[in-house]
Amino acid sequence: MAEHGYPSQPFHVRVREALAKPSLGQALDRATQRFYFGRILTWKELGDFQTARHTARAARRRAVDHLDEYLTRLAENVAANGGHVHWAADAAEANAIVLDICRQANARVVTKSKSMLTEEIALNDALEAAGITVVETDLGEWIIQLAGETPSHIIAPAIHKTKAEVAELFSRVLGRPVPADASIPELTLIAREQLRQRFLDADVGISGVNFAIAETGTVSIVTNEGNGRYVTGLPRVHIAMMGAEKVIGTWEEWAATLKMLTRSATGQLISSYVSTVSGPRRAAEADGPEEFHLVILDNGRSRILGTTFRESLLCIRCAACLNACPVYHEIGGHAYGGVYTGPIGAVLSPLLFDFDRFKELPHASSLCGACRDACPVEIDLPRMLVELRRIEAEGEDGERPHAPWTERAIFALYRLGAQTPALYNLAAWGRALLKPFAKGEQVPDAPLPVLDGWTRYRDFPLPAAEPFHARWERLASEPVGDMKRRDAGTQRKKD
Amino acid sequence: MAERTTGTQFLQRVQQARRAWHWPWNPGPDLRPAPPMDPMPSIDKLVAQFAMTLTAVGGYVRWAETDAATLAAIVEILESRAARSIIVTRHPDALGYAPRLADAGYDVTLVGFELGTTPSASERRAQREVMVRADVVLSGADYAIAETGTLAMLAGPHNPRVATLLPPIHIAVLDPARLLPSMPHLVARFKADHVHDGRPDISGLTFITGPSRTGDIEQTLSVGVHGPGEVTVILRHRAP
Amino acid sequence: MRVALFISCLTDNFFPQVGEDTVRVLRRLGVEVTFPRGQTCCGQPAFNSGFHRDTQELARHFIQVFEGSEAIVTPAGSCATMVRKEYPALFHHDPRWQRRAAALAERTYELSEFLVDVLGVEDVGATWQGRVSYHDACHALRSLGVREQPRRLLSHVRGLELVDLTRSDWCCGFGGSFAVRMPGISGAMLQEKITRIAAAGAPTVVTTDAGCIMNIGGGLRKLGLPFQIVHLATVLAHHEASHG
Repeated sequence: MAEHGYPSQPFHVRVREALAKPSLGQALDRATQRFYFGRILTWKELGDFQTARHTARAARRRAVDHLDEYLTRLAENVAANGGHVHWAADAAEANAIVLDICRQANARVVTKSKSMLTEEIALNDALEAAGITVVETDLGEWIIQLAGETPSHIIAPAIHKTKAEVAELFSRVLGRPVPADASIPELTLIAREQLRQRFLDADVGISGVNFAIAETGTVSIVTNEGNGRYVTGLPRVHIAMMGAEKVIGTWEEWAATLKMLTRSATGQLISSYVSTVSGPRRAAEADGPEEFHLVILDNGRSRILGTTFRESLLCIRCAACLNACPVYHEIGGHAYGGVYTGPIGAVLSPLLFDFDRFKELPHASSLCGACRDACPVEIDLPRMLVELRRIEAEGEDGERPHAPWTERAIFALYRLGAQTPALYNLAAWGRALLKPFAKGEQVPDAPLPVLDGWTRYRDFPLPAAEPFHARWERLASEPVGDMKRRDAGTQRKKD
Repeated sequence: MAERTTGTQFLQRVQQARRAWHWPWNPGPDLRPAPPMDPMPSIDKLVAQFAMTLTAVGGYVRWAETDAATLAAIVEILESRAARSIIVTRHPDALGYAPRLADAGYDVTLVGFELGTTPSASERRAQREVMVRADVVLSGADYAIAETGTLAMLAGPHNPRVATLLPPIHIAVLDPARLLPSMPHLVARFKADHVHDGRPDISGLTFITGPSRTGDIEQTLSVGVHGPGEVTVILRHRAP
Repeated sequence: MRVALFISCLTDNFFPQVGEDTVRVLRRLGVEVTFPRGQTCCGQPAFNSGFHRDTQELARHFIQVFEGSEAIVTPAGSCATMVRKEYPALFHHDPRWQRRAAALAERTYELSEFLVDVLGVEDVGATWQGRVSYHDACHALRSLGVREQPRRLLSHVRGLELVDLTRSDWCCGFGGSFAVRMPGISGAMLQEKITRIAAAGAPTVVTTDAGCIMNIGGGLRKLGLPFQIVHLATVLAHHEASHG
């Protein structure tokens, strides 16, 4: 079995498998396009989009730039509300803390609402190893829990599964056949029935945290299904788990950021349910948990905070960058090999986990910038992808570079050539090199290692017989008034 | 077992890191959310906007100017859904309909507790059993947001937080005086009403916008997955 | 007005005709064009691959070659982005060079934004018979905000009918070294782009970057499809007299 959070196969194999799976492309198409257009539609109603983005970004930045102060205030206020705060330096410590709380509560069944953080630390494995039954209650999470998989999308974890695949999974769970052509409402009803008793049975509810409001010690949880309300409202003990960066200063900043989260994630003005929880139930309240625990996790975040990658900590996990990304669109989430997928995953995985085992991810981008445009807090993802490539190429302050020497040598040569105009005669050299493989002015197949990938999908043009810099003298002497267009249609397709 | 990280150790590491690096470029304007300055729109406008936005997310809206009309609207829903068992929260906007519904022959249970009482664990458990079996919940709302069609529920003695979640049908009676234009307005009101010296006096504030929904299978919308699949808000206002 | 042409290495070596078309369009509008001979590559390939020390050397060379020019115009959106957005950041440890880079960045333009935003020209007097679709080159669109300018220029070309290309802002999969490093993903993106081009139905696709032309054009040829991709400058340089 693969080590949790790490890919079991090399990146190129994962990509090949993803590209070859026909239903994946279809599912991703439907899903990401729907999210994408939904987002565009609600932005139209959002009036001044740029101001809204700037406001949300500034709110996130204030929190992250003063993270220790904000966390201090948050912890004080959670305690004042009667909650318990736990600090976890890494995944193992976080899991141990949760396990302790569950044991003290004599928990046999734990219900969970969707939390990327608990995926990051493999909490389910830790609890199950201790004999506790863990039930994911978000429909998509439940589906992938049943399938024994990891989420392929930050907010739609089962985006890669078709209806028929879900029906088959449910058949196994129910022990009776669910027809492959069962409708989606039918499948949803099965989930409702199966999970309802679990909600009632649970001793402990574990939720993620979308935002933690420092000024009142309040956590907020956003769901559409209602499972977040059950998990935080029914069991005797509620454990909320947050990455240290999820704190925000005030309720006003929370409102400004929440608006960006739901619109960017699913195109909704607001999710069906938003719960805000300020500690355990007060004495007079009709229901709610008796104990409230907040687990605050570092797990590499403080390391990121002290670098040029701080900006990645502004992320509110809305997945807009995934939906906007043409690469994600082609390969889906699992090819990224980690818990976090898409452009933000390509940045976070090498930073939070082992750099070398995720070093291909920053290259899996055409740097088209669609993610940066989509991000509701304006994270410059392409900049960070390039910076990760830089660390690989040049090494981090005195560290040895990760890039192979061959690649470094190629760029050293390139630099030398391009710096010296006399040597910069790419066209002539390239043309001479490629001429033997050319048909006319095109190279349809090149048996050269670098061009091989190119010519699998495209012809490669022969460098021009007369590059522009060689044409300049003649062009410069052309009379301005008599600019006959020579070689009209050179760019047109040759028959 | 290894020593646990203390808050001080954790925060020291964070402090060192955030001091170790500063934005070498302009990270963007330092905007703060503007407090809601625009004048309060008329009730008519708020009500119309709320009805529109709630309908857009699959909720239903009914209009009733009088108590009698409200009761009639509730009964009409119950009849059309063949509902028998109804839970009614002790919210002041809903409470009054409980005896009248009981008179009409429905199996009615009040949920929540009277102010000033401290319910025991067994009383709470008993209420939960009733809530689990109910066909319909009738509630009020503590605030509502016109911009998004949202109901806001305070956790309190009168409002069990799962009462509006367990039954498949949710009917809420909304007094238009509780409507606010947007979330920033609501935040301002909530803080004024329930946050004293930085301490919230309740442990939960829940926002409900339309029915429970999921798109997790093939990104196709399906309602009623865990919470109510049907949400009707009866607006105590004349129909526009 | 006098501008220095920054040809960009791809255009120089693979599509020199685009350079000629650019010069002709500018001259027709009364702009004097110079060609600083020392120019080479702006360093984008090295930059995107993470070799930033190498890129700095190339950037210094570029700045020295172009520093004397009143304005710099290039037919390549991604190269304009490199000079305008990346150069100043590249020298964040070196205030002296950063100042020089920033001064140069302010005067560097992609062709269509120079025509529309600086010269204020939308009708360059061109003629092009037939239907044309427009593909947004990523860097021109997202880093420079070039969205309307090329479309306005095209809308004034006589005989040209601009048809809609669905998701014209969806990357074609070029991305420089990305195309050779991740050929499978890049190829899948290209196929999607080509499918949309075919669906749009116009025989000609116009764009503003040599990278897209190389990628999409190569793909169309490989598949033997009856569509061509041309640079905006080629359409704008085309006019009645050229049929003589």
